[in-house]
Amino acid sequence: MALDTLSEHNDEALLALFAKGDQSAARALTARLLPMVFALAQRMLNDRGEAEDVAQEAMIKLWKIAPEWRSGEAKISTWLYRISVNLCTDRLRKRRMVGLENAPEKADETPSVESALIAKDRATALHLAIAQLPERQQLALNLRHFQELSNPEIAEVMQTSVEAVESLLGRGRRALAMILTPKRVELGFVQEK
Amino acid sequence: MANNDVNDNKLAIFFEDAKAAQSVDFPDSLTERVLADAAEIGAGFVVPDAAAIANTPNWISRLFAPIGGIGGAFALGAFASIGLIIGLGGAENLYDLPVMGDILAIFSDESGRSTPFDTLEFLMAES
Repeated sequence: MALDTLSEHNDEALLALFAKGDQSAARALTARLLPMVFALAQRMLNDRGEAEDVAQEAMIKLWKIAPEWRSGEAKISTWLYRISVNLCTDRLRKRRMVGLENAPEKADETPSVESALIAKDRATALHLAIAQLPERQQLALNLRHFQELSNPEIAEVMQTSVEAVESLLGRGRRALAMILTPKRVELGFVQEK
Repeated sequence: MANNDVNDNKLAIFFEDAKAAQSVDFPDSLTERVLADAAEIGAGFVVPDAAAIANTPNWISRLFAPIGGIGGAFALGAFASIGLIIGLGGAENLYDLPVMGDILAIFSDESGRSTPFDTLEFLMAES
């Protein structure tokens, strides 16, 4: 089937087509889902190579589940996010188990919040500030602000309640503000009088 | 104070900047790897055709398939019933059974002779 025709199908319909042997449906799904899975993994792991592995692994799980996918049970993108988050969490846990002495010395390679702000690189400053937050707050903020998921979708991905997500987002934003406010001059947010 | 704080509105600007700066491109090799996986996994899917679906036995047939299908199940049930009747009847031989005795009598046409030996003796005496 032609890709432009397939673009009209939703994810579920494409997965059903793939389960029936339609490889062009796999191409359409890959084009639609792989960038967001990869972006999430890269943000969580901060390592391009590992993010690629996680994205590939998550997509393999999607292909394998295709024949058994039950229509209407969950959104495919939400399911895929949950799989990706779990894979990333496993890798982060392994990193911690390896120990700090064996872990890559990322702190030395990446600029500090201070240096990033001096360079007026707000994006880098934000990423560095987010990296200081607890893991679940980071994840909630990433899913909300970068993946643009709704709170109920985030709750499904994180397997928690919507109220817990709202709390995580609130605490995360407050913590970010606390980290970034003292640097507001470098950020260019001070009103000139 | 409010203007100098990094509040929600300013955080939104941060996130917008970060989204704009984020790298959305990823290596083509990743797409190729993912599609190769899809081809490999998809090739393993068995898609049943309409004829195969039509010929698929129903669940009752599948259930009794190990004992020879529905016919086998009926036969098994019949023999089990006979065994139950014999067992509960407490008869020493087939002719003592209320039903079997009558049936055998019809075939032998000699209701007074209840065993093959009786029949044999009768025939010898007649000759």
